[in-house]
Amino acid sequence: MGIFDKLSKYAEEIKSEFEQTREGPDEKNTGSDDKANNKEKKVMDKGADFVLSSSQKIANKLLEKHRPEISYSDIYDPEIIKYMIDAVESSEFTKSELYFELLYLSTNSYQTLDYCLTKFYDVQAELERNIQELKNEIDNLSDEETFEYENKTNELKDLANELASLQNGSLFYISKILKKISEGSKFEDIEELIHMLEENEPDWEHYLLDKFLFKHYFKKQDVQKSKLHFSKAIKLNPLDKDLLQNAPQFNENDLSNRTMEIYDIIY
Amino acid sequence: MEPENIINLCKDSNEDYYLRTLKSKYVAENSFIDFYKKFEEEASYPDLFGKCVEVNSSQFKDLYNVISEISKLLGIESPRCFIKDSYSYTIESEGLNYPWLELSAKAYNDLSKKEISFLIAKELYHIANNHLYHEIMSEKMFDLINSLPNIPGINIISKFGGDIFFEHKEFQYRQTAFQWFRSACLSADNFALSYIKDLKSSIDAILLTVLNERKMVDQIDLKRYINQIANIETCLNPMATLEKINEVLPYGPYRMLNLLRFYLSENYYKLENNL
Repeated sequence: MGIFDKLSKYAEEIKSEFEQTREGPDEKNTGSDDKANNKEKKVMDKGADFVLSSSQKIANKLLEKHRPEISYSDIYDPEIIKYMIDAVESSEFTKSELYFELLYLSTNSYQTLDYCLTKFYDVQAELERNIQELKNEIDNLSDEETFEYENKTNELKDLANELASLQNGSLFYISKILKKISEGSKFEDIEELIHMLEENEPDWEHYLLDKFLFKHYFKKQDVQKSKLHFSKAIKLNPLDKDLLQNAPQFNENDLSNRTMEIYDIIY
Repeated sequence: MEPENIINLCKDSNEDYYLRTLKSKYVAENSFIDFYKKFEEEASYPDLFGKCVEVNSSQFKDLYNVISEISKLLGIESPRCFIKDSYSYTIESEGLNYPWLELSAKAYNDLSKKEISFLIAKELYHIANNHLYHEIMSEKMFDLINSLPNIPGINIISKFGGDIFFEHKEFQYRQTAFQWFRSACLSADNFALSYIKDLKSSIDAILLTVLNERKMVDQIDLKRYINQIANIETCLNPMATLEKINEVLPYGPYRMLNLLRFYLSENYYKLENNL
């Protein structure tokens, strides 16, 4: 990491010089030497700060396009999720870079679900507000043949698409369904939402929702569906003790044997 | 089952995408590969024959048989394998004309048959899936980017902007190459697990290569170890993130989680009944 090595080395050099000057005036020093030392210390201090903050800025710049995603499908502990939310909120990353990853992450526990919903509705409201403002501006334009009219119409289309994809994405349905589950709603009340989720994103998978549906269909003795949701949930979180312990005996494959084996190794 | 199907069933879901991104950055591909094949590959031979012991049908026959069996499954020619002196549990694959394996004597002495089979299967998967080719190309690209500032004409850039331009390019390339290789390693782990069909031995084999000490591996609480992922993920500051990007191999806890997930997958089930 050449550039950072160089900057850190430079900062270290400045700092060590700074430390040396901080050792204080020797006995022979006069008052004017003290003043000169203090001035020098301040310059060194500022220099070190400048180099270190530049180093941070360059690192941030590099990471703008290359930051690895948060591995949100690997974290289910609510305390860790809360920590991650706080860490990201206070980090130097702009919210848009981590926005969806963080929202997905917060749906991994019922205790942090509200973060997702609040943020989700905030973004939705902001988009709706922007759309309305843009519509008003377009209405006030008298000439439809101008570039301004065309630009604003295109901008409106983009915002409308963004809103539609937000409202039709799996995150929207999953967070709403989980909220209803956490409030103790009946299955009939969430059935329609599940149907819409499957229509919009047939390949969806979510640990909490799959676990809930596995238990529901298992009670209903729907082997096919309970097996489907069990395999999705356990694959997402193979450390879930409850799932590992209660793996049902499916006839078609040895999934239950494999879950028992994992249980024996882990617990 | 056809070798191609085996390879595809084991593939990490991101591997093909990362490889496409990596390949899009290659330049002078044929020249680099030709140079490696014609000149560099052979440079390893004297040390291999002078400092290592070759596995064959009359010495280390157990290893020889395992290598032959897995190579047949993967549809590749059985590569030569050399045992070398080393204080760690390592296995490496090298070469493009005639790929070969290098296994440490410590691994051969201390690991169980299943654990060694896991390591061999993992390495043979790298050979069968052409991972060595892209590893070599990546190294050549790094060399090229690092030598650019000294080439007359191009060095004019460094006169105006220092080395930042070249270091930025190297960072971008390294990020893409390492991301692909981490994914390729997970695919190789998946194949090795499918081949030995023993989760515990697979876990131990990986942990031994990561930690290099059997006593430590025996002490590990796997759940806590995997939960270290959360600690890694919470390191969000830019410097910590750069450190994470700079890792060639996936961190141990991610490899464990990947192994458990693959073990529970439909693909593992298909392979288990066909290998």
